[in-house]
Amino acid sequence: MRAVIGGLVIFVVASALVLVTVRHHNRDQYSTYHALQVESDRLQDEWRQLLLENQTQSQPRRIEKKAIEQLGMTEPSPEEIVVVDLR
Amino acid sequence: MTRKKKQANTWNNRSWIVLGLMLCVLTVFLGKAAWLQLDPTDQLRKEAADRHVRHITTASRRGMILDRRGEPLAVSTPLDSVVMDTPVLAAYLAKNEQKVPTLASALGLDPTALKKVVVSNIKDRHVLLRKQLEPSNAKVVFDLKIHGIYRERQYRRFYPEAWAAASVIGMTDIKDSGVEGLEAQYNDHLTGHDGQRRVYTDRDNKVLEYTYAGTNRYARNGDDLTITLDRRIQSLAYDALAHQVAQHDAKGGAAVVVDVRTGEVLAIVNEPTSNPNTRSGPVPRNRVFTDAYEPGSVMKPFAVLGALQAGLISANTVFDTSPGVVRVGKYTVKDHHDYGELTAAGVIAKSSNVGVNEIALKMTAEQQIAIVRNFGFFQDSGLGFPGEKQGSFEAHRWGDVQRSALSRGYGISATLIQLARAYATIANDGVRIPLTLVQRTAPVAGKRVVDSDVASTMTAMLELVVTDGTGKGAATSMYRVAGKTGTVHKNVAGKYKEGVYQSAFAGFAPASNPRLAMVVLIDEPSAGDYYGGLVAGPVFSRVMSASLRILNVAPDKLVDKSSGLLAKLEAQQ
Repeated sequence: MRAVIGGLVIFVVASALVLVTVRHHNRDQYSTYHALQVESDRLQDEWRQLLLENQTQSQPRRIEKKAIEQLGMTEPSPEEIVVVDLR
Repeated sequence: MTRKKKQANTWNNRSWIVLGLMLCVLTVFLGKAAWLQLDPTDQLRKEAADRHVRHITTASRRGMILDRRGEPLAVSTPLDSVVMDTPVLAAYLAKNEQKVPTLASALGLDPTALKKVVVSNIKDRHVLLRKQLEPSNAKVVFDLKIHGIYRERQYRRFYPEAWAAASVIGMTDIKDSGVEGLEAQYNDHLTGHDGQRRVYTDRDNKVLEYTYAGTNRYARNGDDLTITLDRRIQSLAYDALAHQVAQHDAKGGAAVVVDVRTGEVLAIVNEPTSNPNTRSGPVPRNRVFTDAYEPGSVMKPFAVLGALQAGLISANTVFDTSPGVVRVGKYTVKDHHDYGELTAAGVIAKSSNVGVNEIALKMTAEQQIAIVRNFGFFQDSGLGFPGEKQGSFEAHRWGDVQRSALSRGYGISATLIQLARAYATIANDGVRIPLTLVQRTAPVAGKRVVDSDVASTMTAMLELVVTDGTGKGAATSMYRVAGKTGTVHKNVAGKYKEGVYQSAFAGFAPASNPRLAMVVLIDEPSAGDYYGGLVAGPVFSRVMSASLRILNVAPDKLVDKSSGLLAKLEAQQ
């Protein structure tokens, strides 16, 4: 009987200590999780901004203008085009 | 022994009293501790919550609208507004005078103006200092780590294609909720919901753990929407249309490009339109869907298709259109010239009113109406675009007068999207495929409207329109084009206004193996020319040839090999 009670007392004390540790651990992890979440949000926003930037830079009419003015490119005339049949 | 006894006696009396007192005190302490712990009045819990519990809202982002290749057409990105807690800020700035100029310039103010704002709001603890700052400036402001300045984050919608896609994509209101176009149509799909968490924080506002009480949900971002538009084609179609509208001093214009095999809409453009990024100017109308207009000659092929399908005529059946005038009931149907004898193909190529009239009246009324309906007129596009019109006819009964008008595209109204679908059906070997603006997950079955040989006969006839007829302006240098012009007197409030026209071209290419169908409408060109082939044709030509090149479609109209580059190359070998 005594042994049982003694065992239970030890168990209660031990579980109380474990509870404290687990709770601390939980807080720690949640805090990390939250920080990561904030970071993830920030990166998502940054990604969207970069996407927009990329989209603006790659506007077809901008590229066409650069191709013509900076690289001196022209659309080939029909005489200059040969269709190669790969079949 | 006596001493021992005395001690015991002392213990018995005084010690018990002391022990009793100590126990009393202990009870009081324990009682207080229990009281604090159990907190029956909730006072302490409230105090703790005030200090340590916070509600965190995680903003959700509206889904992006992407084109068929995954390029964004509408994106929500955050913009920070600057809010000041004036007394705190004033105190901080007084001590850190050197930060004032940097802060002021990042906010777009001069230092004296900034100080003025601070002084005039000195008691207010929440003042909007600057709304929606540029991201680069916002970074400068918040990197200064000034006390008394906070950010308030809002999401704003950006449209990289601006004007070019505005009429289809639509726009959102200031609350980031769709009010026009696809933004409105797919609002629920694009909208997410904000997350909410009740958390414990420590002294430094660092989140410790979440609480189970209250609302707890994760933020869910809106879903992205992938549509069938091709940004490149959309962009070039808009440029070509806007250029032509300006060139011909027209009131406006619209065009639509459709993939004839899949029914996917690749471009829808309108002019005039507005820039959804600035939210200024009128909301652009998408007349491809919302304007049902009297289509005129672009309807002629459908009467001929009906007669071909019914076996009443062939491409070579000859019709005498002399003297270029015919009476139908109390009306006169006239041609521009006396074309004399024309084959059915010639009737289409020259757009002869007299000829089409005769062909249409060979059919029964039922046959004639059925073919028009089968090509999708008087039925909406199935795309569910907000404000779409179905088109209608005026006739109460189908007598010769009404049927003659129908064959020439008068007395009825149709939208450009319906015309695009009908021409795509001819191009797709006579099989009508439902249109779509949103990427399909599985292919859909089409419905055969006319026989394959009837469709290819019509394609050949429509090619003649471009090579020898009214549609020369729509020809391209590398692809064979089939199509039909349409020039109508504009019907304003039931009356045909003299000198006011709508010029259209509807067609597809490459004629040998069609890939794209396109309809162009220029509204009220007023710089001289008004014929569909001259006004709308060049837009078709430019957009079609560039689009086919972008899609890597092999040209089917290259010059004779003996004079071309290949011959030169071969000669060199």
